[in-house]
Amino acid sequence: MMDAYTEAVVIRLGIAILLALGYWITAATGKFSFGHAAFMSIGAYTASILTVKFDWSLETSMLVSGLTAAVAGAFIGWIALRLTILYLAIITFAFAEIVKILLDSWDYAGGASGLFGMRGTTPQLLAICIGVVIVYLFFLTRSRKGLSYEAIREDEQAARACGLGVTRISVEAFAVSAAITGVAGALSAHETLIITPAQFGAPQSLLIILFVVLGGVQYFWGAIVGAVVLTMLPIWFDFLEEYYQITYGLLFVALMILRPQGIVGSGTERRFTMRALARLSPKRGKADGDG
Amino acid sequence: MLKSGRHTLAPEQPAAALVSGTPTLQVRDLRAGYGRITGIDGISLTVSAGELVALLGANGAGKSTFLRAVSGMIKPWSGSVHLRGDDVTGQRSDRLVRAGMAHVPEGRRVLPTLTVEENLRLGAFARRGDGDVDADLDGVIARFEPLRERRNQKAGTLSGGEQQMLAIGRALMARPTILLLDEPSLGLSPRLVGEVFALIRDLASEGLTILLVEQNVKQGLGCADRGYLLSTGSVVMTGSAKELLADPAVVGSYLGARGRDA
Repeated sequence: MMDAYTEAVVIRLGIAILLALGYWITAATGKFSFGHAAFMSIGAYTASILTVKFDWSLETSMLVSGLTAAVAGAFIGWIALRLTILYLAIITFAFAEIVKILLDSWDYAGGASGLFGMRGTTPQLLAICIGVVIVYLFFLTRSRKGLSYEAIREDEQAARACGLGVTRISVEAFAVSAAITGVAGALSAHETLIITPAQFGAPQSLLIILFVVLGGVQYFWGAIVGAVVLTMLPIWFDFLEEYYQITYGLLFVALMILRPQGIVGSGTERRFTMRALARLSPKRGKADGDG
Repeated sequence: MLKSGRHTLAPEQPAAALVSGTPTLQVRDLRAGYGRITGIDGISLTVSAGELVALLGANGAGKSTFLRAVSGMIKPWSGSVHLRGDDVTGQRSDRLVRAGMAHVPEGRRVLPTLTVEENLRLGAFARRGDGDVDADLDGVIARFEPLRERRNQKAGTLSGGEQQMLAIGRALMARPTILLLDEPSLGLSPRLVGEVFALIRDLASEGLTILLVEQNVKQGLGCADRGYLLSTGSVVMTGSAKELLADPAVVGSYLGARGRDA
């Protein structure tokens, strides 16, 4: 048996991985949401209301919360994904704020002071969820649909010319992404045992984006690496005390310069070579010429 | 029959009417643009089954706007597009591909991080549940010599000419009833331009219906059955390719000293 501390770390790690994998699905189509914490919030509240107020089992509640988040995701995706990437960013961000404000004033769900009374979750349940998602992604990335995601991410116009229903495919990916994020939210609520609307704000959305950007968007296991690194870094860097945040920031900047494609993934342009470093120097000449 | 009325709103061409049956593509009085800027101002055009029709004009004449409006990339303001008699005006591009209109966009637009084979498979994406994709894939790869050894290579590593062939091959994977080609000679060396046009001629001789949009008037008319000359968003002249090539006005304005070299 794991001791309580290890179990807490493992569960946090698992939730981070689930969030990262969920986000990866929409990122794989090149659509970056800036309000994914809203789906987490929807999942967390749906499941918590069901387990606390209606005494449902966590497993069933978790599935219902995934479904609820998927419906919300399909709705937002349908509005935002037909527009440009900038509108998608604005709409998803605004959506997360609206969800937060609505939950703040919803007394039944505890309002701004939060909802509690959940019983815990287990690493086993989390492992099953991650397993299911990984199996899904394993087959997705080897399928026609996976190929269409990559085409849309790389060149949406070309994908349209190929006859891909870009909007339909992107909305579907967005809804599945929201569903997984909702399940992660449900499990996270049953780990923290108290949830407040403020917990699912912009910082949480940003953290989910960073998992995937840091890990790399080309392969789904990049998202896993990103989630593990970003969850473990604060623990590993504990000895740095107040210097940890600046170290963290510097590491991120260095990584984005040296590996803009993320930790995992092959660079189309830059690799970690001396030439890459030389290209960063001021006297670059026609470095960007015939690549 | 040559019609060289400088004024626009050219009526339908008698040459097309000679071929019996519904035209494969019939565009009537199409207007489109970006924002308030008019790109094309009332273009009518017909492509009959088996024909290779060239739409020619200088940069900014509205060729690409026309093709984008026909292929569902932008919504036309007014006018109509009929594909084999069905009204498809303003339909989304994925529906149009499924209906048989494949589009090779300007600048080729192959997907550089995907392999040659993956690019080709994407071309067949609209053909849901069609078992012959593998056979067609082999057929297309066999036809395009340079792609054969590069089947599993990333498309971004191909040369410009090979990418153009891949883009055409990708469109063929949709089993189109009409192929729209947007400036296939763009950015290619003269030798490769020759190769690409030889390929287009081959496809046409096999009976594929093609609408070719080209800046290179001489090459375009060289392989086309009929041509439409576009200037500032309107058709200024149409006729058979032979007639157009022989017309002094065409020779003067499009095949001048510079045009001849191109």
